[in-house]
Amino acid sequence: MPPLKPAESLADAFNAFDPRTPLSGPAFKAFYVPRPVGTEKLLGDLQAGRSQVSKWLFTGHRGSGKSTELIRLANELDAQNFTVYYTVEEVLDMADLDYKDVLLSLGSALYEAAKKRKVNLKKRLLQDLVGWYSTTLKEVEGAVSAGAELEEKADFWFLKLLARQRSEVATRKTIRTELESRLSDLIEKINRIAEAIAEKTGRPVLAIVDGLDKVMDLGIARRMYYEGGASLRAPACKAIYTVPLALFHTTEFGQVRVTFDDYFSLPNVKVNGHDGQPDEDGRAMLRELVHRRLAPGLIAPDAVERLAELSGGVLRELVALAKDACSFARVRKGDRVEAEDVERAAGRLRNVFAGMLTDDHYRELWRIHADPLHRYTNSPTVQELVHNLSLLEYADGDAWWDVHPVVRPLLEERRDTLGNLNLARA
Amino acid sequence: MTRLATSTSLAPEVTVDLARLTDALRIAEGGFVGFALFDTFPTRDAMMHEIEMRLAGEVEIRRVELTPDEPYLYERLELDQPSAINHQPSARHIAYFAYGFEGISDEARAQAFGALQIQREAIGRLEVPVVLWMVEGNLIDLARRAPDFFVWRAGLYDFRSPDRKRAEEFGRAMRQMLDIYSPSLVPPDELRKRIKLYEELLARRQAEPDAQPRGIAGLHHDLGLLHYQLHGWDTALAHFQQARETYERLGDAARLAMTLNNIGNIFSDKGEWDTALAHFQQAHETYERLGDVAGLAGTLNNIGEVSRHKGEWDAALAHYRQARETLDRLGDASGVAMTLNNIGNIFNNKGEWDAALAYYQQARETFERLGDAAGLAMTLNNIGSVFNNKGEWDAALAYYQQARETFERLGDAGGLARTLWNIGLIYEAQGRLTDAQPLLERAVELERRFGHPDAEKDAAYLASLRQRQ
Repeated sequence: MPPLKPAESLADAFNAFDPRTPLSGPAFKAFYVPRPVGTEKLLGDLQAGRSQVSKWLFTGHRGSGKSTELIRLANELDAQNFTVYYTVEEVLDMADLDYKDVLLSLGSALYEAAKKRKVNLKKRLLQDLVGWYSTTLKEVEGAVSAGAELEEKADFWFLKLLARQRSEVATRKTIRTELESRLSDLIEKINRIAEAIAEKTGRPVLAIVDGLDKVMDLGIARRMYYEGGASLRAPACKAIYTVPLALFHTTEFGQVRVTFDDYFSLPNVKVNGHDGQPDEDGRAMLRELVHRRLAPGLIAPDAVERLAELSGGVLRELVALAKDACSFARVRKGDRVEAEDVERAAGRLRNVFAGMLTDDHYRELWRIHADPLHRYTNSPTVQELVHNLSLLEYADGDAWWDVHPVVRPLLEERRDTLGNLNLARA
Repeated sequence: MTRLATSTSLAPEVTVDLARLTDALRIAEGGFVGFALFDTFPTRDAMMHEIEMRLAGEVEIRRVELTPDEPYLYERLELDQPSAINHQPSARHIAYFAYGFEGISDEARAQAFGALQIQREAIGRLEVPVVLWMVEGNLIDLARRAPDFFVWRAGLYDFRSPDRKRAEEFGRAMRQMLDIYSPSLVPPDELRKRIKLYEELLARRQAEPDAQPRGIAGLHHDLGLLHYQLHGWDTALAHFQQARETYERLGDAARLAMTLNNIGNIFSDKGEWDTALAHFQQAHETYERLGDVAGLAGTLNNIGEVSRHKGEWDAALAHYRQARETLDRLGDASGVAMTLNNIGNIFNNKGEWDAALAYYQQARETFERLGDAAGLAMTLNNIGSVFNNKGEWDAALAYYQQARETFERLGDAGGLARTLWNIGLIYEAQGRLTDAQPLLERAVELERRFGHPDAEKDAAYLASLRQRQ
């Protein structure tokens, strides 16, 4: 664990820039920098508490800082709400999941949070829950023995069952089949837990279900929201569900979107405005993010600026570039990260993009880049560009799109041919 | 200057990434996901091997080869229970090299990449550094199928050849380059550590019931190179001979030629010119038959060295020029600099000082640009010798001092002995016998230690000097 202050050596900095984990706990306190345009609107809406059962959708670019923002929301709203944050990546099989699995995991997450935070659920409730699960899922092989203590039984149904559901395909099938016909019962049980928690703590439950945006098979994600949208909206608590950005922007998802109370798309931090001029607020935030992890003497000012610029405002890209730049500076035996280190780190990434992008991709990127309004047109090609992060979404009022700064030189190299193509098409 | 085995020089960026990945694995705390790009298997193997050697004793690299039967990274890592190992306070850190994606069918590979996306949290919880070695096409596929795993990357390391068309040649050359372990890259202590490691490996390999002769021969060859660099000529020779026998038996012409060339080098260093020449010529014929131009160029250079020592200057010059032409065509800058230095030696021997200086200066510039300290020191010594021969002692001494410092830093006993001897001779000519004597003594001591052909001659000279005092 690197120290929770700006690193004093490039080796520590290398470890402090970790693109793997969202910020939480002490690391959040030490490293979190508020975004110029963040989740304030969502926070406000959630605090306003129009309804105790509102359901939101949450999306954003891969690496834009969604998980960190959701963890922050969970923390900030915890005074008013009993917030439960979890990511389905840790509890479900991401290759094969449906809305029933998500609901099952939601029930488990509530139970686990109550147990952890010593909100003792009444014995009668536990008996009822255990009774329902053991009747409904009596087919599950090797269920807990009848003679076990009540709490042990409850732990089995809420905690151990999920692990088996994740790893045993046969068990998963059994559970789904049984739950299919008793879904309203399952939702009712979730509601009983949520109500009990709210009653004991005086705070309504807010569940934040992260990780659904990482379902790779868009077919699975689509089915989950199409077939399961109504069920996901049903639990009597507030909830935020994440959605893959690529699915979110399809026309068909529009129908699903309107059935939820609201949605929020976390924009990338702007490094440039719509007009291509530098965005000072955005850049200041990105610079601060670097300085929180790295003592000022360890990085040249122009290197920080280049990092901010080349990240395109995607926070995880910034962290990954900074980490790689530290590595370049170290082998150069430099005292600090220089702009050349940043350029070289970006160059490595650019090489991957160069291999990844096709002529069609370049044409589409050029079209959007050359369009003064930087408009988005929905097409499979564009979805691929969003997916591989070569096309980034920004917002000031309206959403607009631009090419990842690391990719831009590749586009420039092809400017002549692409320019012609563009004219020929016009 | 002779050449162990020929090589095009490593692209500067490849050298940087080699250093970066080694450094990252050394300093990384907890988990870490790196992607290493390669375009030939020899490159990949050479790079993995080099990093393992550089980290020997600090980080234990475990190789995980993914196969059609077991293509899933997480399952393979979990079997090893790395978190249990790394959590033992005294245990050495471990890291994984995962490779073999190319040998898996497209469909299975797609699934294996999909699994990375799905199991990334689980892989993350193992808290160990993992480097995935793959070709570009696969990396791009991975980025598409497992984007959330791809963005976890802590570093991208590019070990591809700068020129795709020359990829294969480059890969082979790189392997050779790393096998040479140029003294400018590796300090003697590290060489000794590697010898120990290889010896252990050799013993283990030999004890295996189905011992693989090719692998064992390879270790003998590597040990030969390591001992050679430490001037342990006789031990090196014994290892090379072992390798040679096996390669002959297996009919492995390419490796045989390489070994013959390296045996030739030892005889050349010992001053046994005819034996050296016989070996070089055998290697030369084989390289020619195989169409291995890079190997050929190195051997031509080495034959040139023998000719020069025998005073056959025109023959030497012809060989050097042929070698230089080929190396130039291959884009092997350090090889070209080596031949320029050697051509300079001829003019120096012939007393054509200006021509000698011109060649040395060209060589010097290249060595400086490449950061090749050993080559640079050798050339500085030679420039010093031109000034020495011209009687410009102050200039000569200035160059010798620079060369001496570098040889000392590199622990290059051969180069150091030569430069100390040269400085000693100037002091002697200046009448500073008390200054000269310790330098000459040390030079002789070094020469004796590794059996330099001139050792006894130099010792006799030193004795006569003592008498004169």
